[in-house]
Amino acid sequence: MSDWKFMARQLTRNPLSLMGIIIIVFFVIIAIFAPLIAPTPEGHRDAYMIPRDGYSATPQPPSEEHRFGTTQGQYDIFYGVIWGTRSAFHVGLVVIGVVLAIGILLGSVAGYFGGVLDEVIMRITDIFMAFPGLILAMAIVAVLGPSLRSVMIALTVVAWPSYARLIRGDILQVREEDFIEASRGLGASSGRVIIRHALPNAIYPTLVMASLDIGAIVLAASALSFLGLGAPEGYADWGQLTSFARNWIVGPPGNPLKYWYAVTIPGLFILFFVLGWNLLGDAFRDILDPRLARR
Amino acid sequence: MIPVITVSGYLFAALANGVVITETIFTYKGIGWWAWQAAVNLDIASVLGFALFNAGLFVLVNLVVDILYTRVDPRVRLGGAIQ
Repeated sequence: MSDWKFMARQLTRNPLSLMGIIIIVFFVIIAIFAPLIAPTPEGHRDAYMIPRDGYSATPQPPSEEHRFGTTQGQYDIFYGVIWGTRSAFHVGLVVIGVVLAIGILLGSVAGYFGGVLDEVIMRITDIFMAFPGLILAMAIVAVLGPSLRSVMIALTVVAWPSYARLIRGDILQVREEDFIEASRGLGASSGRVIIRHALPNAIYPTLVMASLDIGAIVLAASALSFLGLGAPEGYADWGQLTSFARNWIVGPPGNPLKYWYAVTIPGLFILFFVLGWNLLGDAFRDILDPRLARR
Repeated sequence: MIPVITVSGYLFAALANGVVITETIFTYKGIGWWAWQAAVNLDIASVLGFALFNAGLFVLVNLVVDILYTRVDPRVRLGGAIQ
């Protein structure tokens, strides 16, 4: 059976991983068709800025005009969550891409060559890993000035050391194998041995971790936005919407759930996005597990 | 017992992350709230101080975790080679 067919069958066989695929495909569709689902009002300059309907602070309940209601400052929640899906994919995929590139480069170089180079790179990762992730990210965003770009840079800085570590460990294991020795004996350069022989046999755990991490990165980006250290005010971003809702989590006395829509709806979008990636990551881990019989 | 101690060390770091969010939501004026205020007002020295403080705390907790191993399991010896 070919690899792709095997993967597809494994993915669809397990109901949980099927669920993960459905959730992620759903979000991809939302992101692609955002202009159709939530059309930008005419005369609105930037599609990623949520249109607002007045300046009153009190959230308004769902109505014909605002399907999910409006949040603090009369930002339309429906428009925000739909276009926020694009921001979530943007942050998650860009950060994971850059982190993978840095992690694979440094990790494989450290693992393959060993010695002083390995020591230096690994001690640097040690320093980065001693900082609690979110706090280091917060500090970096504060230094760079709050913006979506700073958030992505901060999350990249926080996330790369664990990838460098993981890939280094796997390369260390693979480099002792006979086929590496054989390829070196045939005169292949170090770069060729790493790229053609060592990496293809060592990269799977890293890819699994990456797919599991996309959700975590979007969650961290939301947390930073929630703290007011993310995109500029009004930018379509789930963390920002929960941040608007911060003062409206509990309604007035006697009706504590009065403003439920302001915090619940963006919260549910974040929840399902992260859940989808986690389920998908679990499925990839199961598929790439070599102990799994290929029947 | 040893894995439990190891994980509780890491949990400590995770909780240090959570303290910022929790104290912000509930306006509990602890170190997390202070760090958030500093970050929002771009008081960079305070944010860096908070980050460094937490990193130091994490290193300290890991030291305690290592020492606890010897308490839990007498076979564990710190300090390298067997005499």
